[in-house]
Amino acid sequence: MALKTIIRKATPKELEEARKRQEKKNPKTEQPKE
Amino acid sequence: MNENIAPPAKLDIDERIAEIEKFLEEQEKPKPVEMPPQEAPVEDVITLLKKITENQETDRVRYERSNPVENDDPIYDWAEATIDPGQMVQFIYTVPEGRAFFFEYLNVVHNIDTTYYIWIDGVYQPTLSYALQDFGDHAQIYKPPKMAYNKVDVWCLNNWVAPQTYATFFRGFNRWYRAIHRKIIYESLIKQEEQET
Repeated sequence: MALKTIIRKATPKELEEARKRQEKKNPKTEQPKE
Repeated sequence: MNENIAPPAKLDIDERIAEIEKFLEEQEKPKPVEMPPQEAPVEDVITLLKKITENQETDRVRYERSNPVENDDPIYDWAEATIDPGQMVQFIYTVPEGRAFFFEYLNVVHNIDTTYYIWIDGVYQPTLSYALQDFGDHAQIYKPPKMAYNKVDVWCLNNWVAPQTYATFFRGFNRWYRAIHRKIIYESLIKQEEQET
């Protein structure tokens, strides 16, 4: 039995989750208001 | 008197001879005979042997649960793919029918900004997935091995700005499914029960 490989486009939901994870890992620092 | 020189020993030969004679007399005396250990009753010996065999059987079962034994098929496989950002690669191992897959080892290439998903029999495994992520260890040893009856999926989502290459290696063994459910019967215990009733 060989390992089957499928390449597909990530769904918007998956991308959203990945983006959220990224933000959690590296939170954006707020710019000080002048 | 020089302190560095030992004083002359006072030797009395008669005393010395008396000591040696006493020692020889003690040696010649008959020693008390050590009795051999008494034999344990036969019933106790039989119960002990039964306990030993049953312990061996439980040990063997425990060993068989985590390690390949005779007639098991070792499984090694590897695949790789290069994907663009925003793409997902799915590595899928399908377990042959009638077999149980014992999943021992998984190694996935660790790339930047990647989300890993592991599915066993169509069930998402969060803890296994998070263990691979970020600062996790990309070589996972499952001890005791994870079991799968249908398929094992490893998904990688490339969330970086450039294409990245992913490779997966895994190891395990396949066992004929029916062998897991073999029943162990202790004939000695059955006979004992029959005698008691």
